Amino acid sequence: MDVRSGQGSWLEPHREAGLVLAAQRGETPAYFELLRAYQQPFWRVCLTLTRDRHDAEQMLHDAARRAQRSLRQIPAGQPFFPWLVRLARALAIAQARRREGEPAFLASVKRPNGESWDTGAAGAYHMAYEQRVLFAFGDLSVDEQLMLALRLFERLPYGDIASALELPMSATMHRIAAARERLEQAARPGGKAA
Amino acid sequence: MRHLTVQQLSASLDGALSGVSLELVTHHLATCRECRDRHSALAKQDETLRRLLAWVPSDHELEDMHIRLEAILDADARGNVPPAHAQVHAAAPAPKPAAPVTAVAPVSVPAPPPAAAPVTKAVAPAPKPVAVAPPAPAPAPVIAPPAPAPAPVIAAPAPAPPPAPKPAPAPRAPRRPLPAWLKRSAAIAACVCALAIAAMIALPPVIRIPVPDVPPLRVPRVEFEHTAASPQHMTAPATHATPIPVVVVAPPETLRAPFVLAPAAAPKPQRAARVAAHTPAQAPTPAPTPAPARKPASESDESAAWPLLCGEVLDDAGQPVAGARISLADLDLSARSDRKGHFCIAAPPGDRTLSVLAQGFATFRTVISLASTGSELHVSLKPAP
Repeated sequence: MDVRSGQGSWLEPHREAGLVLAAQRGETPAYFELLRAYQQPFWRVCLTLTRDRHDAEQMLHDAARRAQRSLRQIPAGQPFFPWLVRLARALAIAQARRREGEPAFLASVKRPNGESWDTGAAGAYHMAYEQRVLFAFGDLSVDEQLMLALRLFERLPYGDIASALELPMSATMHRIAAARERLEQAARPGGKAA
Repeated sequence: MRHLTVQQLSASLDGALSGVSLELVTHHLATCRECRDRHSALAKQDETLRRLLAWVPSDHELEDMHIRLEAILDADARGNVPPAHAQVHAAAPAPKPAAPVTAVAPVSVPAPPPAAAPVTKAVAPAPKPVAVAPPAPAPAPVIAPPAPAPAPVIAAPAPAPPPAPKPAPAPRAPRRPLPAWLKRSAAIAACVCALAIAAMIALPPVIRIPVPDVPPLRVPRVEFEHTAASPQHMTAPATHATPIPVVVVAPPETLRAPFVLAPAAAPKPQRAARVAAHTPAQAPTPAPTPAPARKPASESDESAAWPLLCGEVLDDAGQPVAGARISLADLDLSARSDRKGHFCIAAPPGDRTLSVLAQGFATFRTVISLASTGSELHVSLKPAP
C-alpha cells in the first residue's frame, strides 16, 4: 500500500514485513508495535464504519483480537494494514446484518467524536447538513464507506483501495463516484435523508 | 449542453485525471456553472466527511487506548476474560488518572467493627481506574495493599498488625465458554475419529463378503479339430498325436485366458482326430473376479480320470459319416464325428445311454458301460426310413 497518505505514522515495508513475521512467530511486542504504527489510520477506519467513538474503540479492540488469533493467515509479503482493514470490514458487515431492520432516525445522529452539535445561530444549518451527510453515509454499504474513508482520509490512490478491498479498480472508481452521488442526493434539504 | 458525469467529477476531486480528460473537465468547469456548483457541493461533502469522521483523539487518549488494548490482548493470551469495555468507555473521556494503583488505597481504610465483611464489599466502592491501570502488575490491590498500610482489610480484627501478607497471584478468571457451534463441531470430529480408529482396530485385514449361491453354470463345449492341412491349429504340436481333454475352468462369460491343456492317458492316441471335452456341470464357480486361467492340479487330475469313449460312425456301406452327433443323454454330453467318422468323448465311467443322430440316418441308441480305462465303439447307422 502506498505511503502517500501523510497521516499517521507508516512503517517501512521491510520493517513491517519483519514485524509481521515476528508477530506470526508469537512475539507479542512485535504485534503491539504493528498496532501502534497503524493505530491512527485504523482508528479512522473504525470510526468511519461505526460513526461513534465508543463503538469505534470496541471495533478496534475486536479487530485487533481477531487479528492476533489469525496472524498466521497473512500471506508472506502481504502488507498488514489492508489485511486489518478487511478484518474490520468483516466485523462491520456482521454488525450491519445484526442491525438490519432496526429503524434509524435522522435526529438521533450524533457527532462521531461524542461532542454535541453546535446549535448556535450559525451552527443550526451546519448541524442539519452534517446530520444529513452522516445519516446518508450510514446508509451506504460497508464497502462504499470503506472506499470513501480510504480515499478521503488516507488519500490512497484508487489502485491501492482496490487491492486493499480485493476489488477491481474500475469497480472501485465507479463505486466511489456512485457513493458520492448518493450522498449528494440524500444530503440535499429535500433529499432522502431529510 | 452536455454536463460532466459524476465519475468525471469524482475523479476530478480525487485528482485522478490527466491529459485530455483533465483539460476537458477543467474547461467545462470553467464554462458550466451547474457543473461547477455540483463540483463544489461534492467537495463540501467530502470536507464534511473529513471533519466528522477523520477525527482522531488526542495522543494522550490514543496512548490510553493502546494501553487498554494491550491489556485486553494480554488477558486474551493468558486465557482470562478481558476487561469490560463498558467501564473503559465510561472512563474514556476522563484524563489519565494519576497513579492509578495508589488510587485504590481507599480500599485499605479499616473496615467498620464487623470488619469481617467480605473483601468484595470493601472493593465495591473502589473507583473505576482499576480497569484503566496498566496491565503489568495486574493487581488484586485489596489483598496486597502497600507495605506501610497498617491494617489490611482481611486482617482488620487482629490485635497486632500481622506481617504483610504475601502478594497473592491474581485470581484466574474463568475461561470464556466456547461457542455452541464450536462444541458441536468438536464433538462430531471426535466421534468420526473414534469410529475410524475403532474400524482400523476391529476390522480384519481381509474382508470376506459372502456371495449368494450361483446357479450351476453350463459351460460351452470346446472343440479342437485336427486337419492334415493345418496342423498349426494346435498350439502344442508335440501333443498332436495325443487326445487332449480340455478343461474349462472359468465360467463362459469370463473365458478370456487360454485354456489349460492337459494330456490325458488316452487308449488310442493316434485316433484323436476330434476332441470334445466338458467340465462337470457342477464345476465349482470361482470368485466373481476374472477367473484364473490356470486350473488347480486336483481338478486337472479329476478330469484326467474320466475315461475316453472313442469310436467311429459308419453307414451301411462302411463309409464314414461326418457330422453325426454322439450324445450321452443322461450326462448332457455330446460330440460330433469328423470327416472320417471318428469321435471321442470323455465321460465318467458307468452305464450310459448313447445316442447317435445324423442327417439322413435313423437314430441309433444303445446302452454302453464305460470302463475306467476307456472304451471303443463302432456305430453303423441305417438310412432313415
